[in-house]
Amino acid sequence: MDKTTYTLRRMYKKAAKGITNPQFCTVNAVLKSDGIESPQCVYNEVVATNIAQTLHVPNAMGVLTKPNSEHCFASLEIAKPSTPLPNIRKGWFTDAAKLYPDQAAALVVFDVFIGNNDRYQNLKVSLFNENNPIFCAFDHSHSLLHPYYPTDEAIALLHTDELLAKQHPFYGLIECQRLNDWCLRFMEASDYLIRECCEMGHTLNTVNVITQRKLADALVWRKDNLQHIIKKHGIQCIK
Amino acid sequence: MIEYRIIQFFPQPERAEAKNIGVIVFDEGWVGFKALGMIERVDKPDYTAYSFLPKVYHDSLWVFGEWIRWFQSLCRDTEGNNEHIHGELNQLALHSPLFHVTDSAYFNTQFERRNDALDLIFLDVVGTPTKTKEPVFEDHLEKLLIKSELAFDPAFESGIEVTATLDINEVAVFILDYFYAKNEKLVGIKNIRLQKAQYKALDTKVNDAIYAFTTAQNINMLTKNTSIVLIDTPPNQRKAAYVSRLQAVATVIDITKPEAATKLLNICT
Repeated sequence: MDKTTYTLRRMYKKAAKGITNPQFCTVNAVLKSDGIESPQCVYNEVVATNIAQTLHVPNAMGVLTKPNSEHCFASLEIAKPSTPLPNIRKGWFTDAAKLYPDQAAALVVFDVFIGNNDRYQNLKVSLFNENNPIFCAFDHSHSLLHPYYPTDEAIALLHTDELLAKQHPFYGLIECQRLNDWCLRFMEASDYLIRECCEMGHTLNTVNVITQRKLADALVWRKDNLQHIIKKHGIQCIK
Repeated sequence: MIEYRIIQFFPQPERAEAKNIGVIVFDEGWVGFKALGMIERVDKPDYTAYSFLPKVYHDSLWVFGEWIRWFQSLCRDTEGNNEHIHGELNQLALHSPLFHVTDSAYFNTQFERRNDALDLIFLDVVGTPTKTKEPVFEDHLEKLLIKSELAFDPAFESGIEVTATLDINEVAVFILDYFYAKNEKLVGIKNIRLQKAQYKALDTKVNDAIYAFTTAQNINMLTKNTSIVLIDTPPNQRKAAYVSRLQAVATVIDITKPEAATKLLNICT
């Protein structure tokens, strides 16, 4: 698949001289901020994006920003295709798994790892134009520090062999070999990489460094036990 | 009374100017859907139906095909459960701010076949975008590239300069208007407008095409079959003579003919 590009909104005059021709510009993004229903969504999105980037899971890019006193997560607007794709329909997951077997397997392992039980529809996939393959997941507000639980409870749940992602559109549709390969990729990641994905070194909105460290501990444990979790819950796959 | 909702596309949402691109019609447990570009009993839509949209969308017109399938799937999956369909349509803004469905409207009609009512409502609220002027060479060319879907293929590039080493001391440089490289297949394309072209300019363009394709064939980059010249219909005998010259080194395709897209695609794939 081609590397994802993001929409440039405006380009300004050259910033300075240099061999890279530096130039100021702005890119389009959708701002997400913490609210009553999802009080830690910004932190969740940042951590999910960090993990996805570290392990090359097909996920939409985003960056931290601070438009006022609170941090927000700016989900970058994908430039191509310029006409936005519809979100995937329920009946299309089988075809999507056939067309993008590796990406689908990556997403299953990723969602089990971060405890994401809300993958349905939060995925853009092109299915009917073979020349423009697109598979990009987004929205991780219902994972990690899950809004339905108190923070400590959400972390404690990640620190157990609970599946958390009890439903997933790709369960039963991916190959066992790919599922295992992606599971091993996560397990082989060094502890410090996972910690760096979680620990910002400062409080992020309401998520302080102690909570961040606790989440890192839980995810390091979950990484080491990922194969056990997947086996224990008998995630269906194609042999 | 038949209930319907119009599917709209907002090319520039900040301007709030909608283009009606489709319609969903409800009649008791029956649901019908029709959108621009849909052809009866043909799986792939005709993307040229959307070429009236601003140029910025032209390289992604294929996405309208994905949306057509999305709406078809919505109508099929819900098996006439109108409440469910309305529910999903009301959530459409979550997919993209560019797509919108209007609130329900009603059409007073008596039809034996519901599809006839669908056709009539579609014609009434969407219709076929009217042609503002006679198509010129560039319009035909654009439609050809959209119809063949080459315009959406990342392997299809425009304005390619080729530097070929002919000998130790000789390098040839030529330009191709389009170049297609996929699965070890290379196709080079030049465009030459014959109608309303001045003879002097035509001499230069034809000689340039012959030079480019001869050189490309000499270095085994292209064959005569994969060297393509896109032309319009020659208006007179004198201009038809240029076509004969081009046919000696390349495959010539008249882009005003309906079979042009198939011909071009057959060579490229």
